[in-house]
Amino acid sequence: MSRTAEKQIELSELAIVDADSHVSQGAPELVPYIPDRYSGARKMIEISEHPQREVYSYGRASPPFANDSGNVRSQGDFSNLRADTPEAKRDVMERFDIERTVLTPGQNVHLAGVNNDDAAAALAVAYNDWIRETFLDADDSFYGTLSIAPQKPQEAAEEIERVADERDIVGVQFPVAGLTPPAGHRQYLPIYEAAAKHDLPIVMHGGNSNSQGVFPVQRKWSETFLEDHAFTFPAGIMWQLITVVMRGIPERFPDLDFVLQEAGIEWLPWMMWRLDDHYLQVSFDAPALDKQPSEYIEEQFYVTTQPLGHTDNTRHMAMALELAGGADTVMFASDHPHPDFDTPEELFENLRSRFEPEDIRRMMGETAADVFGL
Amino acid sequence: MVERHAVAGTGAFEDEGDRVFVEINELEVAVFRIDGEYHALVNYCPHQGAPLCEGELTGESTVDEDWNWTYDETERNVRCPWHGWVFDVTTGESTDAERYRMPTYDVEVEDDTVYVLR
Repeated sequence: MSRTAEKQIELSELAIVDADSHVSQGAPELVPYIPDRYSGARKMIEISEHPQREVYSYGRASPPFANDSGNVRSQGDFSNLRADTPEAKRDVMERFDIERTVLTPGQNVHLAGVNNDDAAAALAVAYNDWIRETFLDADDSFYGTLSIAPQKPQEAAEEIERVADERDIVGVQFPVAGLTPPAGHRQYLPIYEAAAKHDLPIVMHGGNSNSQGVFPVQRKWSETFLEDHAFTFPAGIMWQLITVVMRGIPERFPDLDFVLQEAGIEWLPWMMWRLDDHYLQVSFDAPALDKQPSEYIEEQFYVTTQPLGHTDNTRHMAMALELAGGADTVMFASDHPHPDFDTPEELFENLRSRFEPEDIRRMMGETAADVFGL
Repeated sequence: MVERHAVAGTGAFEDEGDRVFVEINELEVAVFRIDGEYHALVNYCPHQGAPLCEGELTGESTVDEDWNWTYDETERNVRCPWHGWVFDVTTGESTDAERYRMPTYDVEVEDDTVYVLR
């Protein structure tokens, strides 16, 4: 531990990378980009008066972020806040001195909840053309994860092939909120193969907006958005992590990286210890593994920080970040424009109480630049 | 200096998987017959100190390229009787984690007597 770091580095010196920053995006933006081979799905989406509910299957336990008196509730969807143009995104990057941003989809994060498989595939393909035309081509500091529909793994692999070589495409956004079967299932092998072939990390974002009926994020008996949101984001990602690791996806694809977004970081060491304990006691159940689960996680998994969680004890937070893997694993993220966003300073002030400047630089940006190949 | 310690006559190892326990200089060791060969392993699990070699012998599952599970029936691994940690009797290595490896000892047979070298 070193407290001298506080004197050795300032936030303004850092090349900050935001590893999870959303664009505002629903079905209406994408419809014009849906190709003719999905004309049936396109028509279905076009005639929907409420595509957020009727296509993406959104639902909530209660109104989201009820303390926010502004746009959140009036627009009905907090993913439609102030991230609808490159200028809006650039403004927030300048305000917080963020150098480069990895853009995350809006409603396409919840593509796994689309009931019609063709509609899901159409929205994925459309997103990849829309994001390039509207955001990625507009600013060299923007990068993006491409969208896929896990309902159609082979088509998803073909979509990865189609856009993987674009300079600004730096990852595969694998929608896992409400995903059935879970991400470790063999049916998704074409997706992992294509991502590995193109050296793109698999990116999984916490979520629950459309997963009200699906283990482990079903919300029946949640009386409020708060109860639901606090539990389901990390719980959903934990389930995906467990199935992906224990069924040997990292073992099959040892050069493939995984990025977990918006699921918290403090549980990760606990999960590694828990999985190692289970593995050593019940290794019959994990014949695909050649080493302990924590070793795969340490070598191939990364986590983004927002929402960091709140404690007044910055040293405890810094210890948790170190246990989660520190600079080898942790990457700053803002989650702009959502109401639970974190500023760079929120992470930086916690890091300063424990880490050396080099590790702080990595967690604030360099590790993300390496993982995403920026 | 390595010394030779008599364990039992070969008649004590008539069947595959037969084992005999012996205490050598305050260390308990088990000698197993695995695939016709003799192997000596310390009777101690590094996890929580259980008598490792009192556990059942077991084979091992693997998964092939096509995601099919297969089971190798060769029972050369011992499964700790307390929490199920599994070690290869012939090498002392955990079948699941490189960092765990228990001491093994050379075994000799002379005039139908089995000896451990320690």
